[in-house]
Amino acid sequence: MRKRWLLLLTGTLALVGSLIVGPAATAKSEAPAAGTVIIGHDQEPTTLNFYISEGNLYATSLAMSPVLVGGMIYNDKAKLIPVLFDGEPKILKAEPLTVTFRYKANAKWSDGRQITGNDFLATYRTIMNPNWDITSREGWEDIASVKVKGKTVTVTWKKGKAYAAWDALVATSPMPAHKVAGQNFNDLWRDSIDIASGPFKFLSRQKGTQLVLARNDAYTAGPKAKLDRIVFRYIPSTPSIFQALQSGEIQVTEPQPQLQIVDIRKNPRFKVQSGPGYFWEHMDIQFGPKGHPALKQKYIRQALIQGINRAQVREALYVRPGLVGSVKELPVLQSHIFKPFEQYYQPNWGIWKFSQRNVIATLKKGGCTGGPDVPTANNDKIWTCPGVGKLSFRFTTTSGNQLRALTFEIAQKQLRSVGIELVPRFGPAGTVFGQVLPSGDWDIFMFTWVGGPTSSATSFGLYGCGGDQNYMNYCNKKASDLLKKAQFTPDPNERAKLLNQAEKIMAQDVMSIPMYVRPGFLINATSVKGPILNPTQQGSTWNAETWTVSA
Amino acid sequence: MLTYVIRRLLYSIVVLVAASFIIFTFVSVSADPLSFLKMQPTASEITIQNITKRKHLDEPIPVRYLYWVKDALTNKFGTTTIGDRPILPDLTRVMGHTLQLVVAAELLAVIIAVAIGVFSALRQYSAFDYAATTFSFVGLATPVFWLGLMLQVLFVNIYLWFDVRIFYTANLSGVDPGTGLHFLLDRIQHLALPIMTLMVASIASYSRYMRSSMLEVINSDYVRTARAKGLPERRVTMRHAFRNALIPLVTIVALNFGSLLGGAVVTETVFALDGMGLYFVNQLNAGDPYPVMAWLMVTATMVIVFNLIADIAYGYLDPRVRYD
Amino acid sequence: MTERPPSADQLPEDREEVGIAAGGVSRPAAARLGSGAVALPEEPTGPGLELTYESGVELKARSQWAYARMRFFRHRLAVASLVVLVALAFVAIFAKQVAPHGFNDQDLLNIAAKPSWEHPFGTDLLGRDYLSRVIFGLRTSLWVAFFVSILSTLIGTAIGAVAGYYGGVIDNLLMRFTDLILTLPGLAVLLTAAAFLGQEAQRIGPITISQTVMIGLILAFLFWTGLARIVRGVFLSLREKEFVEAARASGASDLRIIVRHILPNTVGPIVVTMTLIVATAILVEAALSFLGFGIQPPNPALGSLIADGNVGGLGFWWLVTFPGLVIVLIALAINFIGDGLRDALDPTQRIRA
Repeated sequence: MRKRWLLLLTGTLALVGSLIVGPAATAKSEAPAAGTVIIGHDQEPTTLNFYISEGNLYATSLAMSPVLVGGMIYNDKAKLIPVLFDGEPKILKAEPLTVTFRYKANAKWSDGRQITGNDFLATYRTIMNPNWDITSREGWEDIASVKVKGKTVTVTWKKGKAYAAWDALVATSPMPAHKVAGQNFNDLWRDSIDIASGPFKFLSRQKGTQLVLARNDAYTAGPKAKLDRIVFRYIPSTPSIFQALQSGEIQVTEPQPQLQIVDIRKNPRFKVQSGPGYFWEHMDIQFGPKGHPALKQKYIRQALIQGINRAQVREALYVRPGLVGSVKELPVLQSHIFKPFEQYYQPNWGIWKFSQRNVIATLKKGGCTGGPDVPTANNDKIWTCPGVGKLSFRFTTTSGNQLRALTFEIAQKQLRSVGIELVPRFGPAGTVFGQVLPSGDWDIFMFTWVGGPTSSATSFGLYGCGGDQNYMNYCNKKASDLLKKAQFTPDPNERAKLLNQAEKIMAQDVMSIPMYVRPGFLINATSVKGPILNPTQQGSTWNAETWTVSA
Repeated sequence: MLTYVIRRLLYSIVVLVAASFIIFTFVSVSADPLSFLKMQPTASEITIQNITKRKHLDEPIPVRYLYWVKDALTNKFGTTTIGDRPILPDLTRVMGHTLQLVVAAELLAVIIAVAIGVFSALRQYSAFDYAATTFSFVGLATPVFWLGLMLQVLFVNIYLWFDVRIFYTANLSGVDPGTGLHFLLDRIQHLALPIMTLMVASIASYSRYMRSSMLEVINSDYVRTARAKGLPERRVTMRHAFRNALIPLVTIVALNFGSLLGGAVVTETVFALDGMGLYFVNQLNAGDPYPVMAWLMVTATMVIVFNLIADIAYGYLDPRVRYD
Repeated sequence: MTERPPSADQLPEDREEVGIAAGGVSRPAAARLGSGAVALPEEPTGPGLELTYESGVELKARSQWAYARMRFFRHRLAVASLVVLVALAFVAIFAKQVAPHGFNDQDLLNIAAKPSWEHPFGTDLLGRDYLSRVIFGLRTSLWVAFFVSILSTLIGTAIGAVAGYYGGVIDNLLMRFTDLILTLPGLAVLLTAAAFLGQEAQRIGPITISQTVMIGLILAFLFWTGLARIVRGVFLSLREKEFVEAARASGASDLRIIVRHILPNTVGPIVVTMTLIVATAILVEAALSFLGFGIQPPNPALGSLIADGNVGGLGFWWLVTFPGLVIVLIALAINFIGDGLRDALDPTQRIRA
């Protein structure tokens, strides 16, 4: 018996040993085929068609924007630079808004055909076709006419409906007219795409694992790509992404802010770039019937915002652990409409400074009782205000997001010490966004708006009376009118003036508390040269044609 | 026996239908697949209306359920809510990957666990027994995602120190997996760590099981009789004790295997494996009932089938158990 | 195995318990020949009392429970584990007194500090003393685990007893219901529950159910199936036995027979399974937190502490290691105790004299 067991044991050991030795022996040199860069991402695109709602993921545009490139793209300074356009588009007439632009003479598709105004026309027609599940028709639906002459296009908008973000609109990646004609657009480019207008083209795909792009040798509208291939690997768990990064299985990644970045910063094998982006974290307040009655009182809302030390929150979360270098990189957000790095930013919400004494004074003045007289560390007394009851608010946000949980905990503690209670209601994203938010059955809701350089123009949807995304049921007629007017003002200076005016009014109302702009991170192994962090949704592949990799 | 099987299967169909209705209701009620689209400030109303109409999202839930039943039976489980993507090809793909992972892990786990369990039983309360017991319980007590992370860290560091890649930390295959033998080796290198992670819990519980089952058998009358008859110890152990001790383990393995086919969610998440568990979690988070239902039908059937196999096997192998 | 709530047949020692319970407890005293005592023929004193001669002259009347206790204490690891568990429970119950700080004492100047004399477990991302966090987390986790195991034991035993005793249609219905619960994917149930119930304290009349209790209720709802099958097995095999017939003949009601006569025979496997559920519940809570379904902040629970700390990587190792060690310690202790209990309650196992 002993001999048999020994034999079995040896056999098992030999099997296991061969599993280790075998692969190690046959392992090739780890540097992937020279000229390949591997990008790690935590979400996989389901379709390659980024115009339709299924393709409405950052992951999709990250992979596809080097393939179907735009007339213009946002560079790392959030400025639109021409790629397929020959120079910048020009405004011919302000009212009705008429603009014109021209595609480069040498802009052509990967199959040799020229990119012409007809492609833009096809794009317009496809987007306006009600049969297709297009993500957004905003701006397109107000177009009156599109005139095409060779490579030149002239677009005219309807009277009084001048689209504020017209430049981003005309810069939309043109669709290949000859490939789109007669096709079911919802099904098109689901698994592969055989045409390209940008420096890269689609090569292959293993669903669930990776997507591979190859250099588009037919690209002449700009400098040819230096890399042979770009590979996207999909790893849903962020700690695993960091492990894969360390082990060389991926070389570039854009992680969510988290603690492990601090360690990577210290590692000389990697380069970490961070900077503010267009994600901004904020706390919305519910004005509707299902919200807490206390929140309908202006003085209580004003007390609320003065009770949260927003500067301390972002310092504790991002600066102290070492995620960003200094507070200068992440200024406190004092506007919902513009970001601190944008030209037209005005700190309209700066009128509310953190002052615990003011909170107590304001509440006392409003007639509230039962709260602490001075800010106390382990306070148990919660204010009760006349006609609205106890100041105990439900705080809803997504679960499983550590930074959000920490933000809540800091705010909860700060408010508790002045007698306002926050009760947590964390839930999975699908539920809180799909169910809770639209229903209005919440008091305070914290989440991140993801915007872009044009989102300031469309603030009406968020804050205007009856706006599509105005889940707060907030309505201030004066501010709303200003926002609506701004949406149809093409001149950026004029528009900014209107927007800031509106926001000064809204700041008095305190309908939502701006917290901070979330920083974006880009990490790449030092063997890869070229990636530059892009704060917009354009993504880190915006300059992929300039990247190089050394072994 | 045949009537027993048929009766069980009939009841199982009822259970399947009930489970499908319950989960369909749960998923439809708790999440809205269009929510992420609606969160876009610029989302097109026409698109939202189109999808709502096409997928009957404005109908009451029982009606939606009936639409799903129709789709499931006539259209291979139908298509996803957003994007109208056919579900069955995705499901079969992830099923294949999970099978690779689970079959390999369970096979290895059974072999090792049986060896450990038998040895522990034969040398009860010895140092080996205590060591095996401790290892088992530590294995059972470790959170899976932490174990996975530790394994990743270990092999990443081996790679960094020795510049030899033994196992990979993520995904199913490398960038250029090649074909044939190279593909197989590459796949093994990628699946090794997840297999190890899954194995630990299985080995721990199977070996405990094997040990106690072996102990019970060794102390039983018929084994004592065999010894009294003068049979060599080895014969007693191998031919009489061991085989009978395996019986309960067979049923446990069958049952566990059935449920693991639903995908080991945490393992697949940590190691980025394109399997059933990850598929389920992604679809659940997206709030899309159709893929979740398809997954449920496959998984529930597996659980029921393997439950049945386990019960039948137990009844077949152990003459003391009879089903009426 | 720790990825799903234990189904009927994922709990180890499942089938084995049927065998033991069916044959073991009412086994005649002949089984004790191995330990050197002389046995008297079985007296009709009921299933609780056995008389034996110890080596020597004295006749000591020991109840079965006494023997079980003796056997348990011979299992050294189980005894040590019991001590450890009691110590941990003590720490958990008196958490407020034992912990050096509160669990939410933020110190935003001292974020993510390494373990030191002042903070033996370091601090977390808000500067809170991690030792205190772990202690309070221990309290929550132990509470949830015991609550889940007790509740699911009650439910499982009740359902198993009724199904096993009455047999026939009732048995069929209840077992199909059990199958239904088995096939429901736990995550989907939790998602819905989290959506509607598990987010905040629910008020039913004058009673307020905290969120922790809600999570416990939901978990218990998914955990009872294993015990139901085991108990049912015991009842199925015992209901035809003579002592049940005798009890019925003497006019005992069904309920009395179930509770007073048959149920004591199931105590062994029930207790053992309960300990297993406790260990599994803690791990399931950890996995749930990893997937985003756990206890609401700022209440710490061991599982959510690990899940939150996981993002720190090795550079911030203490965030994961300390709660992880505590979880391993608890699970180990509970498993050893369960092992000891099973050895104690099963008289057929060979014991070193």
